[in-house]
Amino acid sequence: MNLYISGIGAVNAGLPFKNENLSGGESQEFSVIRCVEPDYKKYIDPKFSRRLSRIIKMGLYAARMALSDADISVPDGIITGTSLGCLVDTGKFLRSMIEENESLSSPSAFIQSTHNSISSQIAIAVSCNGYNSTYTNRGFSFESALIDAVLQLEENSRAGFLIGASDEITDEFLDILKNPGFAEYSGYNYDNNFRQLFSFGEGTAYFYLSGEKTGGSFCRITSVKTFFTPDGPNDPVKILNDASAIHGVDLHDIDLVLSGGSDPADASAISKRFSGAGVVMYKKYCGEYLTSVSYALWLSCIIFRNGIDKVIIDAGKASTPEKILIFNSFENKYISLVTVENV
Amino acid sequence: MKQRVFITGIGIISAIGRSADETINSLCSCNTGISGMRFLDSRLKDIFPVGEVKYSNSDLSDMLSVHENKYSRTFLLSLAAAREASGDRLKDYNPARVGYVSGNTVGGMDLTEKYFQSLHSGGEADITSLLQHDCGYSAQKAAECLNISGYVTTISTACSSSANSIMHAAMLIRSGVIDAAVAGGVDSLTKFTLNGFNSLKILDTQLCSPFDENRNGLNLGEGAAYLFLESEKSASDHMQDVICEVKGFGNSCDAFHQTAMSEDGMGPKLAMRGALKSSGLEPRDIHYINLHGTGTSNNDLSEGISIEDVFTGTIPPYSSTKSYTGHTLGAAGAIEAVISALTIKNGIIFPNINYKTRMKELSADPVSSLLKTNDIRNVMSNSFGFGGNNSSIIYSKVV
Repeated sequence: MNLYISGIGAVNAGLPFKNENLSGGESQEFSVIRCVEPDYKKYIDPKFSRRLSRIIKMGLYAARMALSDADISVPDGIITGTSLGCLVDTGKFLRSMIEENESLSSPSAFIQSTHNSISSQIAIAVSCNGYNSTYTNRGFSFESALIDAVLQLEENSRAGFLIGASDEITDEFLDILKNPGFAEYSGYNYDNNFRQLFSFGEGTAYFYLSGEKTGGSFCRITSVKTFFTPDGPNDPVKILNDASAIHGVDLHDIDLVLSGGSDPADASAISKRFSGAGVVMYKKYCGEYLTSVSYALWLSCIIFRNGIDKVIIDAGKASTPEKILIFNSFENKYISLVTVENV
Repeated sequence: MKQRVFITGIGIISAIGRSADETINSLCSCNTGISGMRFLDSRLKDIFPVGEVKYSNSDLSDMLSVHENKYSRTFLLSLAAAREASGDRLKDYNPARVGYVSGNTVGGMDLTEKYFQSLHSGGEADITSLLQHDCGYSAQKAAECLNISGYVTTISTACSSSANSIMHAAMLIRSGVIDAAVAGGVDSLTKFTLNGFNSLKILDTQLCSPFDENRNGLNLGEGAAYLFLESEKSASDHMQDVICEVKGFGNSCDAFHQTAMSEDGMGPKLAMRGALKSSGLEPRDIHYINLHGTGTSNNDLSEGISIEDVFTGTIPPYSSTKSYTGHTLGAAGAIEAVISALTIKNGIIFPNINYKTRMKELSADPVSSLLKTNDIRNVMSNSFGFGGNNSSIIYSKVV
């Protein structure tokens, strides 16, 4: 499988570069890691930007940053993954519909509430008439976008696609996540004692991917695999062994694992499985959200490009990782594996 | 050598019936399913006709024997159509080699809006209903009910969502990632979408008349449709009867405006030409086009002009079946895929009802009475969405 990355762009909390006070598993308080919003005018015309919602602006900013990094003006296609879409505008339209008893007049929130508005606004901004799609499937939203890119580039290896993910957190959404009635049933990001596993998070990241290696390529995605396991095993080592033995995912020579898990015992078992590879529980830096694998892929790119000493992570003995495994699971039903290597 | 992708099962529920058989009966008798609202409790009830599925949620739960939860209408509709498409065959397939690929825009908004409405009026509200809010919920639950585990995903590209899900599933099968898939889409009527489309001022207060000079907007509909897709090898290994094949497809973005299509139809043209190219067909090889044909001034003009351009001199018969089902948004591409399959299988082109006057910009009329012909080998189905997400798929008779 050939998927070369030659450009990246992201909006996130800026971790782990800044020495911020990280809140996560150890904290009992309700905590959130929000994106630090950039100065948008670097990549978006302020006149255009004023009309856009926050999630679309962040997505468009990251997308243009990735294209500029890859020195590409128009990609051959755009694919976005978003698990919950444009929550701010969905909430806004819903609230006014209810409060005004179905007698509203402005369509602007409705227009920006649709999941595909992120990919679509990127296409409008960069004038891309090529392939355009949006995936929204819980813990597989970004992974499906990557798999689609694999299929598209397999059929046309000379093409280059812009792939990314965007998810946002809103106060209204946080109120729901905090509600004990909801938390008890969803179990999302809580342990059995209703303590948060990680901060709730959000973020956007885009990647310029091509089917062939170019001068600017700095890493290669070697596999993307999703496992939908309704009654699945939650033993990470068994999942990894099955992935390699049954599904042929090449897991040789992994020297760093970016794990979406929160259990230190799992982390040591994973490390042992890879003969002492470093294991980083990456959600400490981006929080828990359903497209967080896009953050982990972005972090992998930064590590390959700038060196691990530029990021403040404890990577164990992996001082110069050559092959990274990103391993995430949502509700033990949505398991995803991405392997990426230096080129 | 890439695998060919065959359609060996179809399932559909919409305003015109809850099976492929009921659907073809309604289509052949030119009976529209669009009428006044019975189940959606909206203040706009008496203003806009809709293509509502004629069963309440509790009827649907009974039919499907799913009572363990208060399910969203979106999930119930999707399970009804997905079960019909797959029948009892899944027991003979390896669940790890079968995918579930859905298209959807509204998720469990029917439950979400009730929840917030209750909160607003100080009533009882069950917050667990929000667990079904996202678009991925219905795919997860349906895949679990069908015991499918090879691959699960959902696409949301507005009104072309399920055309893209069929396309994605076909590519997964073609490249051997999976052998078979239940692919299609679903959307249920909600106050959210009804009010959204009303705020855009594109809803007709009368029955819609797609491609008519005096068209006045669309009627919203709801429903679900799924195809059972499988590789040629899988179909032969499982001795399935083949209905037709997914011959080729095109996807493009108009990149013009979030809710309006460019007048020159740049995106639609690219999608149709892409579908022809990927099928290895010429415009003259297409024997019927199932139009996106929503009945809005903008869509029908842009689509009509693009067809005149792509099919210069060889415009095939075309019609919009949204005059029966209403515009079912994320389900439309799949509902029209099933109708295209029925056209190929039975040699019948279903007419565009409510059509009177030719659009002044066009040189052809849509088919306006039932047309039987044995020579329908290749059908093009168009699905164009907000955000400029345009897709076109060609379904072909297997010879």
